[in-house]
Amino acid sequence: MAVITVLIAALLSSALPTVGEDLMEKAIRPHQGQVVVVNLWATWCGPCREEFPDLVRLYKENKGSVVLVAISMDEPEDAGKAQEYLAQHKSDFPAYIRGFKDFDVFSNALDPNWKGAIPATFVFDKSGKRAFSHEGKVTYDQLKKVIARLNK
Amino acid sequence: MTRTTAALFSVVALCFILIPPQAEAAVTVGEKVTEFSLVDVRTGKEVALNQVTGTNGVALIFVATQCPYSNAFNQVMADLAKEYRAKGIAVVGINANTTEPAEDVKQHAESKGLDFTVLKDDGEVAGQFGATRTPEVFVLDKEMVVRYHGAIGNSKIPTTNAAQAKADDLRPALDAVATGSPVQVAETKAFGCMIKR
Repeated sequence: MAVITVLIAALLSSALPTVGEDLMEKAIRPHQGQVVVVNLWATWCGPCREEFPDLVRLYKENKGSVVLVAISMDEPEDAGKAQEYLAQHKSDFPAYIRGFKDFDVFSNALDPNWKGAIPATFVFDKSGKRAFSHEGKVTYDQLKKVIARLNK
Repeated sequence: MTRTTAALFSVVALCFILIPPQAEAAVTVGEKVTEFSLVDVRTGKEVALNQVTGTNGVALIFVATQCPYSNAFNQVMADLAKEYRAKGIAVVGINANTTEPAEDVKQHAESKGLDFTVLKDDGEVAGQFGATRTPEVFVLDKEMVVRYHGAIGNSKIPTTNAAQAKADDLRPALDAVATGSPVQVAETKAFGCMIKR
């Protein structure tokens, strides 16, 4: 039984790819031509769970012009929990779990001015340039405005 | 426009560029902080910063009861408090989450063995310091000057695992302040849970 549990956990965690210092090349640049919303969240983070449905809604309403990239800051061994949460929200957007070796390098790639609290949301324009950063819970209206501006 | 007027105009313009009007006040390393008073969750009495500061300084740590990143460091904080009390530096916790009432903070401190002063803040002191997450540390020397700001430890790979939590970022700063030496790494990036103000 224990072996099966371990196997299931391993399968679930392998389903969620890691992202770290390779953030730009791996998760942002491949979507050039679209607005990319990067959201840092965790299963244990209350405000993250509160804002998540809004992010999913925005993504679904703007499919084709906006990509949502969700990066779980859960411990790598909790990838299964993160995967389960994403499945509950019927996510079909790129999702990753943190896999950096140096948090400074990773956070600087997102925004050197980001202080380090989650939830945190970063929006990159169609050319891959950072256009918006927000530490704390972000609202649907706030992001909608940013997206409308960048999609003009 | 005279040269003086032009120079003055440039200085004023530069101030607007460097200091955005919306920016929240935040203390920086090297700056002296303003005295404040907060309620000690154990006694229910208000105490001033200078009353909780050790002979060589104080480590103010913004903490939470519900944040796994903060909770991972409970034992580390308690150990540091014990060790550095003898070296003249007090460890003081500040809970600024409006969602965590003083009674919960007291119970949490008692059940988790946080054997150091824990203060309750309504968000004002967190605002004064520019603290946004837990755990986040400000080390002040005996002159109330900020000498270190950042993580307790594990800043390269933040952890919620108490067994891995250590004080590798904070300890060198405490040692330096305890002996009056310069702090080599005065800022690290603290990852954590957003303070709910």
